[in-house]
Amino acid sequence: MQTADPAIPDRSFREEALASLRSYLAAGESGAGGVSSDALTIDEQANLFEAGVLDSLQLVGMIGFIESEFECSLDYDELTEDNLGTLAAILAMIERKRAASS
Amino acid sequence: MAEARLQGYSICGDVTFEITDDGVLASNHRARQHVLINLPLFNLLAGAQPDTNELRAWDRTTISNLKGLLADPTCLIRDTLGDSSRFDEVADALKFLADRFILVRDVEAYHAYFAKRSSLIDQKHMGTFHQRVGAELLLRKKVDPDEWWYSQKFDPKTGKVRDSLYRFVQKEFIDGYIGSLDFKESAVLDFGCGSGLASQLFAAGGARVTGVDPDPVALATAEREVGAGFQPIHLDFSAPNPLSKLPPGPFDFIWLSDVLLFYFYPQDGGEPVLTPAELLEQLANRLADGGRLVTMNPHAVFWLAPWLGDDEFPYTVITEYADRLYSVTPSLEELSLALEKAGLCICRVYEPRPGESGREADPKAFHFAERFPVWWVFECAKVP
Repeated sequence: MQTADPAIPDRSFREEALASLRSYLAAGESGAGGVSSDALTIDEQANLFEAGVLDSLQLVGMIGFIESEFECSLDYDELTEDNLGTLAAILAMIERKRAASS
Repeated sequence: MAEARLQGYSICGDVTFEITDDGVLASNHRARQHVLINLPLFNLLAGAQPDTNELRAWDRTTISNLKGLLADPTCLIRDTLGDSSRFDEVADALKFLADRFILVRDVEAYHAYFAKRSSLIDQKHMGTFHQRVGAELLLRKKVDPDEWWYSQKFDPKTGKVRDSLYRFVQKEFIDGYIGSLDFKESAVLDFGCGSGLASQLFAAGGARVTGVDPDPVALATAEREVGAGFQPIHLDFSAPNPLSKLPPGPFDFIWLSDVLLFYFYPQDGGEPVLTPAELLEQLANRLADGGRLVTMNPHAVFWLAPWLGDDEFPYTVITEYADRLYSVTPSLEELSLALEKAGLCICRVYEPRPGESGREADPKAFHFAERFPVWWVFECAKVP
């Protein structure tokens, strides 16, 4: 039986997904240029556009990242601020999609 | 009475009903939404007893400009009818119409819809034309807007101007206008030269042409096409003081074709790098005494909501002019104010009509452009 490495905390899917999103945004992996390092610390409830973490082109990159990283497909009608405006909204949407597909 | 029949909704004041072969077309011209409804549903709206088993509607709204920039700002699907929505309950039919602003319940909420979008994914507000097209291109079509814009005017395979109003109105005017002037030994500034459509004509007339554009690929094409006598200058609008690279002049002729509109209304819906007056003033400072600055823009009327009715005799419904949200082009007052602030006066205005070659190639576009000028051209000089 494999035991958990005590040095690595047992993180929930949500925490891992949040860390993954934060590091993506901070690294600017969209290819649309660097994204603000504020992404590492921004409040989950803060609006990503108003906080200057995300602009339109970076948003397009982030949508692609979400689809590949979390193996889901986002319909045009789902691309709303209610689903993508904050980190909390993004996580809630990903969790809903995971639940629907399981 | 109507409120009870329509369960608290009322027919939106911006809506017209047009009888067609397929049903009754309900159009909200301000929101640019169109719904085709069958006769029972129309009867319900009009106060007659409906047959609830037969209530049907077709959403006829699209971003029609995606089929060609000058195609039609009306946002009406004109061709295939597609699948209808069928409603078993009156409430479902009414909600379908309310979601598309044919009916309204909360008038204040309806008016609040008419605002700029706060982001690419803000679907709660109508947004400007550019915001709406940008969202469609980036999020639904997943295409590069820069390539799309270029392909609206030019065939990417041949680099030639498409058989559209760009050719039948704009290019034919440019050919005739520039061809009628004497450019021998003149210094010309083609500001926003793109791939050199006008620069070629200036150079052919004997001018030394300075071509300016933010797109390095288009600029390289212009340099290749125009050849000798062409000086390309790349402008980086993300840099501070972007016009500092412009030569001091003086220029005998400064040409701006489809440029100024982007200073009035930037494509991202935000604030321009330079106001139109600031840009014009910097250009006017480079204009020789007795020289001309000529700016050609999409006509203020054309962009509002044209192209309804018959192909042979199209008409328009205008819902905004002085207070505009769709905002592709400035009003006449805004444009003339920017010219005045820049120290320029208007010598002449042209409103070009389509050349005969357009009649067969695209009859609907031809008939529209015959009755409603698609561009206007302002010929300006420095105020003495």
